[in-house]
Amino acid sequence: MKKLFSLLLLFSLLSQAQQNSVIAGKKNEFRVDVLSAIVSAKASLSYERFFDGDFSTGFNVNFSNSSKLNDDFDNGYRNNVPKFEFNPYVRYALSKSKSRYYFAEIFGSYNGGDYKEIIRLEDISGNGYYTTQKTKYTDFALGGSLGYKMYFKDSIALEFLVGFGSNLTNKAKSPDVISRVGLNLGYRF
Amino acid sequence: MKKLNYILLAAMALLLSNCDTNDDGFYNTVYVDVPHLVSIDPHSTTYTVGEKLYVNADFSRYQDENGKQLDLHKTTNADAFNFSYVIEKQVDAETWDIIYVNKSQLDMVKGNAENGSFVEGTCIYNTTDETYEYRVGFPLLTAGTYRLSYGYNSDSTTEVEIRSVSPAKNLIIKINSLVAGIDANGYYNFTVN
Repeated sequence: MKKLFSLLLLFSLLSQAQQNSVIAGKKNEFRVDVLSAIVSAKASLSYERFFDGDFSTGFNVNFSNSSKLNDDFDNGYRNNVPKFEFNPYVRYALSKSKSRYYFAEIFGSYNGGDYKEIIRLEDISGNGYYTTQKTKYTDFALGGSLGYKMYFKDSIALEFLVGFGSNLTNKAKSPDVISRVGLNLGYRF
Repeated sequence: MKKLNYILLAAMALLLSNCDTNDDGFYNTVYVDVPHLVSIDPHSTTYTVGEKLYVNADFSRYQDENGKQLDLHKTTNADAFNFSYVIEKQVDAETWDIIYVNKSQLDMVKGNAENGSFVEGTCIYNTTDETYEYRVGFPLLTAGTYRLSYGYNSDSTTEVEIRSVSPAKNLIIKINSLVAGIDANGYYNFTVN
């Protein structure tokens, strides 16, 4: 019985090592965020480049056109509405396994969207009135995330990610917080 | 398990951080101060049963704002402004009851009014003289000690809040208007004999 158990354990370890080797040999990955697409009407695409060891790097681009956010913006419940983000990141794998592992990342974010403010104008008779003026904003954020990734058939990636960052340079117009929450489906090659 | 805790911790931090943004609020509202837009008909503080207490508002679309004219109508596209007040009758030394009457008992000379736990008055825009108008009489049906206050929908006791009824996606103006003839607690006190 002991021998059988040892054999099974050995087989499992060898299999794991072989799988790690196969996945580690694939250095590139593309992903699409299915959660954001469904929940937030956001198109979110990511690329990741894997290095030897535990580090990887990549970027995420996303464009959003949420009708709820647009309605809130028009009705005055918010004064900005994010439209795009470009998020470069660096990741570090927290687990030894290449097929299922936790990771931490730091990311930057160049982001922008529409901003609305109330301004006072005067008509030709000199009577003042208030109106809203829409402009564009851009900002740069820094933040961090944690996530979990798993592979099926050595190539199909499923990744859960949650993180947030803070905009830094244009907070009067941009959102204070940039969130990075996603359920990504990807392909590694 | 420890790493799962980190994930949950980050998720909680995310949720909490999202509660502390400047992204929610009301960004369609303009606040202005214009005194004495609402008044009670001149009358002694003693009424007789069957008389009506009239509340009036009749103000131009053009109001002074820090020495400059402000066009209320152009800002809001509103054909009405709302404000509220409460009429109470004294039951004993420390108890006051809100007085309810049917809408049909209100004398609506100008504007409109709804009566529930408070009177919601609506000043209607008159395109001829470009003013918002309200004049509604509240029937005083029984003898007693009464008081009227404007503070039902605001924290201020000395001001009445007059809010534009703006079409969707238009700016809203909230006018804080100082009220004359009230005591330090914000009440117009009167008796009905």
